[in-house]
Amino acid sequence: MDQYLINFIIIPLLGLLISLIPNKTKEAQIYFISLITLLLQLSGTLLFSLIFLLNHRVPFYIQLFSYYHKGHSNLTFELFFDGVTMIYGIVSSILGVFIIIFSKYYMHRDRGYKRFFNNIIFFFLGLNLVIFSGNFETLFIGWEVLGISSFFLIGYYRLRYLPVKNAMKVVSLYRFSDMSLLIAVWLCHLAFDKNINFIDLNNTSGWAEQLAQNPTYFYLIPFIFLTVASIKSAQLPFSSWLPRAMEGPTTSTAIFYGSLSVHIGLFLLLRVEPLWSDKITFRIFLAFLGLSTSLVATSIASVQSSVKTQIAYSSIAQIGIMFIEIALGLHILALLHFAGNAFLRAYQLLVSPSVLHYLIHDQYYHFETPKDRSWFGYDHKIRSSIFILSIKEWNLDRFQFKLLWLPFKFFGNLSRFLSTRWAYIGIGLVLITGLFFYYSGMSHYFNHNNSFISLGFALISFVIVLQAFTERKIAKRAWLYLVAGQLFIVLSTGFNGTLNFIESFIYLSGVILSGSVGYYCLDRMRKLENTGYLSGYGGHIYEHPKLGMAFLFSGLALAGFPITPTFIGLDIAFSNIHGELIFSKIQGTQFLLPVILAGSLLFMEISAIRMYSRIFLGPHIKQYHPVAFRSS
Amino acid sequence: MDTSFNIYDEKNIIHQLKHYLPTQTPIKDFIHHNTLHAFQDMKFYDAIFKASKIFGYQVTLELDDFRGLYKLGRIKEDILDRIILNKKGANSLSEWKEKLLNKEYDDINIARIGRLRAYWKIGYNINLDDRVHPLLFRILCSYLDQGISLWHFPKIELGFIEAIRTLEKNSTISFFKSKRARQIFLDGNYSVKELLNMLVGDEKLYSEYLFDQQFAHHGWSGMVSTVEDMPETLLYKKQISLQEMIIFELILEIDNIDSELGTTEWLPLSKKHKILPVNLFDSIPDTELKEVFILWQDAFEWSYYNEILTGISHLKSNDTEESSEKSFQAVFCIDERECSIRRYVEMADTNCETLGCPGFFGVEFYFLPENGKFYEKLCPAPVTPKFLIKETETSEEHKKEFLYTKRTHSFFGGFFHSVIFGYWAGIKLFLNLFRPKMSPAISNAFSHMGKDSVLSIENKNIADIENGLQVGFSLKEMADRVEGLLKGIGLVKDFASIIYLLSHGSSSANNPHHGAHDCGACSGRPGATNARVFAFMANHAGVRELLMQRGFHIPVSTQFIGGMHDTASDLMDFFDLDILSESNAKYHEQNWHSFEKALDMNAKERSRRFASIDTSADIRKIRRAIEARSVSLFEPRPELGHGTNALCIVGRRKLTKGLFLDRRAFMNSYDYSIDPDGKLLLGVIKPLPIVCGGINLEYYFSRVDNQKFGAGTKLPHNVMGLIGVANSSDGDLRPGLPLQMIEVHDPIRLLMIVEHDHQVILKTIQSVPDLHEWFKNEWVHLVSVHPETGEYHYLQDEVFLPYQTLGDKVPSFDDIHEFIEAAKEMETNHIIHATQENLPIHIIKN
Repeated sequence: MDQYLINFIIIPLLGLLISLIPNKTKEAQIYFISLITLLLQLSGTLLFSLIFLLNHRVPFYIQLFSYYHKGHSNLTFELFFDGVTMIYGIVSSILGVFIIIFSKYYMHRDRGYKRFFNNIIFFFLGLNLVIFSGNFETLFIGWEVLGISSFFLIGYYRLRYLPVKNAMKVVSLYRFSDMSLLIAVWLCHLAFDKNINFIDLNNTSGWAEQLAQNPTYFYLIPFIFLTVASIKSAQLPFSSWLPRAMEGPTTSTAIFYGSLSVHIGLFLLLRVEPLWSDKITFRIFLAFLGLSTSLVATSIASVQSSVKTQIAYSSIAQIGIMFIEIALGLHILALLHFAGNAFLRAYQLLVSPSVLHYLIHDQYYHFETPKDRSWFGYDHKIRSSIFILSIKEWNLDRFQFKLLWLPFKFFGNLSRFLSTRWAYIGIGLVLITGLFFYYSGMSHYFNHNNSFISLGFALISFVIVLQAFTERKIAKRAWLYLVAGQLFIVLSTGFNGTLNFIESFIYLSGVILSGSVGYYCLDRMRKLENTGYLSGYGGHIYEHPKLGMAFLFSGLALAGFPITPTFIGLDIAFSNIHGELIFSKIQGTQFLLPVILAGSLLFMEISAIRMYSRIFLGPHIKQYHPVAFRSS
Repeated sequence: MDTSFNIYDEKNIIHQLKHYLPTQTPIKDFIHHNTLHAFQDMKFYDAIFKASKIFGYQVTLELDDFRGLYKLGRIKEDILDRIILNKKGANSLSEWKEKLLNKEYDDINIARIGRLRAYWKIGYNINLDDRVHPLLFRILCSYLDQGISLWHFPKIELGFIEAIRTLEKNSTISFFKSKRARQIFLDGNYSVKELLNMLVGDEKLYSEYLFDQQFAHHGWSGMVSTVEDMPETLLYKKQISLQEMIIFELILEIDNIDSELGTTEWLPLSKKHKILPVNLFDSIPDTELKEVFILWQDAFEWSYYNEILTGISHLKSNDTEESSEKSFQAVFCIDERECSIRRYVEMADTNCETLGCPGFFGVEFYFLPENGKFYEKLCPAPVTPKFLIKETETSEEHKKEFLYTKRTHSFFGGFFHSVIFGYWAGIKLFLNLFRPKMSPAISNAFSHMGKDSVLSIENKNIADIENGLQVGFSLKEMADRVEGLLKGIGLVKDFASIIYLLSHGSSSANNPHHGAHDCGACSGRPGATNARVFAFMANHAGVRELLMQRGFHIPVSTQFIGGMHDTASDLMDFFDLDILSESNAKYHEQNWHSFEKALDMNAKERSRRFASIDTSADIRKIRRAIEARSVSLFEPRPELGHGTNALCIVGRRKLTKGLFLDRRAFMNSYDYSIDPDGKLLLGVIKPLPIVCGGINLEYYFSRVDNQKFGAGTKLPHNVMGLIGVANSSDGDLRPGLPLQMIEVHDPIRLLMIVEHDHQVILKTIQSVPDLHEWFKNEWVHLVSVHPETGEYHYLQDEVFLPYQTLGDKVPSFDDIHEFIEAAKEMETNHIIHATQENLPIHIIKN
């Protein structure tokens, strides 16, 4: 049975590929492919669930293939099916089938009909990669796919300003969670001294020894996972993204941001439960986080005057309660709660337009002017304060911005001196020299200092990528920063020996290829539309959809999106940065290097996507056709 | 340059803002109107191009679209030639044709609005809108909210600013980020002018600044302005004024700039940059491109108008005398959606007669449903009724929908609901996907009034007055209305035994715009009550007697029956059937079959535009599918509303009977022969431009610029405070029509065809300036058809000129089933594809 698990990846992947074939206007075909995909998925999940239940709930597990093997590092693609997978699988595929049928009519004649269904299947591919994953590496791929497909779904109405802006906002946050996950995974790798899969993880007695050796790691890891989970499940202080994700058609909003996507943080916590279940401080913290989120979210939900945002905050509050439940060890209740909440919020969102008629009609018969005496009673000060706080969403949006992005923006702006001609020449020289040393094989002369050198390169990479992140003017310059940033990562990983020549060559080829394609796209746009500035939104996808797509793909590839050579290179690099390697004598660097690299990658993808958004998305600047107001 | 715009006068500028802002009321009362009503005192083309330059609207189709329509043959070459010839002279024909067809133009429109406030970005790198809008919209929406939020905005009775100030004073947390702004707000001693002085500095720029600011969110500003003028349009009354909103927004702007730059670090715009004042409303330059658009638009319109006029001429030639023996008469609303059902009723029973009049049937009143707490206006929006009709003894209960409870949003309630009832939501969803049916959450046209309830139609006591409204109509008032309506539609003789008054409404699920589908003549509500009320009046023995005294004789055997047609579900129902005499009851039985047959065919004709229905399927299957659409949550097009409307025909049915008009004509019955000097005509024509022209122009503008005039696609809409829709959580309100309603519409102005002598018509319309304006300024086209000679005259520059139709071929068909089944559905909703779904005028043979 185990070997059939692969079908949960193959079905959506095939579905996605086949759904790309039909012409845009062939709605029936697109629908049919999507429906079959989800129906197969649903029946498969049900079948597996049945066997799983009959078979005394013994999890299924398979290691499909290993794409890298060296020493302790063994990068494999693994799948897994247990009770948690079952519940998530069933709920998501049932809702998936519903939404596909619903959307068949709902999306009829929408210009992006095909794009919508492609994105939905793409999202399901990511979701399945997460819930059926058998190890962290596989889960991480799914996590990234979820992030990117969310960008597409939120920014579905790509010629309006707000969807694009909010898609950007959400994907940045998601990217933050991706990178935190990457660090958590890497720490696990360090802690367990090998790539661990979920079977091993559940077998807690098997790793008691490592636990005893590295207590700090095991203490730290759950908190990082909690950060990752809190972002995806919109817990404090990250809650304000969820209502802003509700930009797409009501159907996709309902299923993803109302029900599936937002519960995936809970899934992650359940998945890594063995890592924290015996840590009482963590459980207290988890419960406390859940409780405060649900209190804050409830207060915000109470003042919401629009239907969808009200549902969003109610859903966040319930997820907070689910966090409390798992902290108390009530996993079954949490899963039941998840399923119920997913259905309820999906339904509420789908019927949200009818609330207008229902409530107005109700008012015709039952209206009474609400009394607000309670607001100005003895405790009016507290109540008024809570009211204002809730209207302002507890300043969460601002807080996030200040906490997460402002420091980097500041740092990036500080190092503006890098944007001078001399700096370019300097960077170029360092780069060329580094590459020369590396590929001529002379780098081993520096062996004893390699860890410093590679840390130095990583730092340069990070600073350069921040330049791209803060670049607001010339697109080509930002793009070159990104390419240079990647080249420095190649150097950094090459110099410390994590990558051998061939590996680094794979990596390098990915960087060069995507870098050139992206540069070509920017150059074309410059010639065709005399554009190439990042100061405002251009909306050029209206006239140049193909160029836009090519640029997007090259941007994602450059930033190391799964299945690209860059990604494989990265994956190898991360699993290789390891205590046993040459630079172990300086303890600090082994922590710093991955963190800096993760930081580089974080801002690299954000910058690439932002460049794409600025040039190709948003209100079209050439107004000879209807263009939406910026505020609408 | 006219500099009056640059002289700051607060009262005047607010008045002007209110004039130009959208006037759409809260969405529960969707009343169609000319979207550019503010420009209606100008000629159509001058108005639209001016509006376009000032506000950046797209006001015609795109140039390439026109060219595509020409290639398609939808814009006809002979018509185009004639129009160029008439306007530019024979010598320039080829020159202009070349320009129209091939010349490259720079057609990018750069609007005047937004110029001044862009300096915040240029000078200080601040995106003020991004910072101010989210909080401003949220506070506005909370304040105006009608019942979505669980915690209501406190102290709303104090008015907008005062309520916020009280809240702010009582709170340790502030809405503001900077101390100075908070202090300014709390002190309260500021004027708009002082605030503008801080932000702008130069008095000559103030007006422009306010226009820039308010038109950066025209949806919310328009809503505030409308609520200020018509507080009664909200059930939960709120006090707010545009001035308050401006003040609050200006302070928020100061607040955000302060917090970004520091209180002392910035200067007013005019002190930082040298900015020359401009007048937004300055005249706009004449460009060749404008001329090109005008010629194209005229050609597009007349290509269709010529078709219908040719069609009418053809009918004239095979004129046959109708029998005076009528099996029944049915009066429908003028609504163009009833155009097809009338055709099918006539087909189902060739001896019947159908007529049309505005669907409130000339009875204007407020309606109070049993247990209701508010009056509902049931007449055209501009009319203010003096009467109240109350409903009692209804057997229908007001039902609740379990999962719509707000308890799901509370802490514990949310927990219990999601753990226990969440699964029920899944089942509900499943059921609605596969077996959609009516529920309390669906807007049901038939539930507006209890079918068997008692209505207080007759005034029993002249002192019976509620809130200034007289309960019921007196005998004389009833007789006046019955006489007025019947004479207006020319129904003065040959009364059949049953005369039906068929109002209409529309049921739909999950549709915030449902009001736009109901009867426009009943203020966007179902007209069932009006039909019932009129039937009661006309059946009233006292009324009949009074009419007799006036020389208006209706036979005793004639009975009036009210009914309603649901234009979405194609269901029909009749009221008070128990009053029918024995013989009439039998007739009704037969007639009912005719109506059912007509509904079958009507459903079939409508189904040709619906992808989900196979038009050639069994008729029962189609009926079921049509009905299901009206109760399906997933169906954004339960019906297509007024899409495609293009004509308004005022005359006898004979004029167009036998023509296939494809549900594009408003049809008002009128008999010139009983009104030789046009006395009745004025009453008939007067409401038509406002109602039909308003609908037509709203569709026109929402079609040509669905983003700025229209509401965009409805798929992502989010209901805000029960007063409107917006995209996303931080978006501006979106007035206008959503994409799903306008995609079948060809954006052409309404052509009104009146059957009478053109001199009589001219005299009639000139007698009322407001009415005349519509035609004089070309917002509605007017063509007269002479009842005897059949000659056409069209109104141009206040004179009627003769019109000769071009070409004489009118296509025809024998079998309506075949014809409809053969019609193709649009490939995409681009105008080139969409217009092909609209069938040309055909003659129906047999």
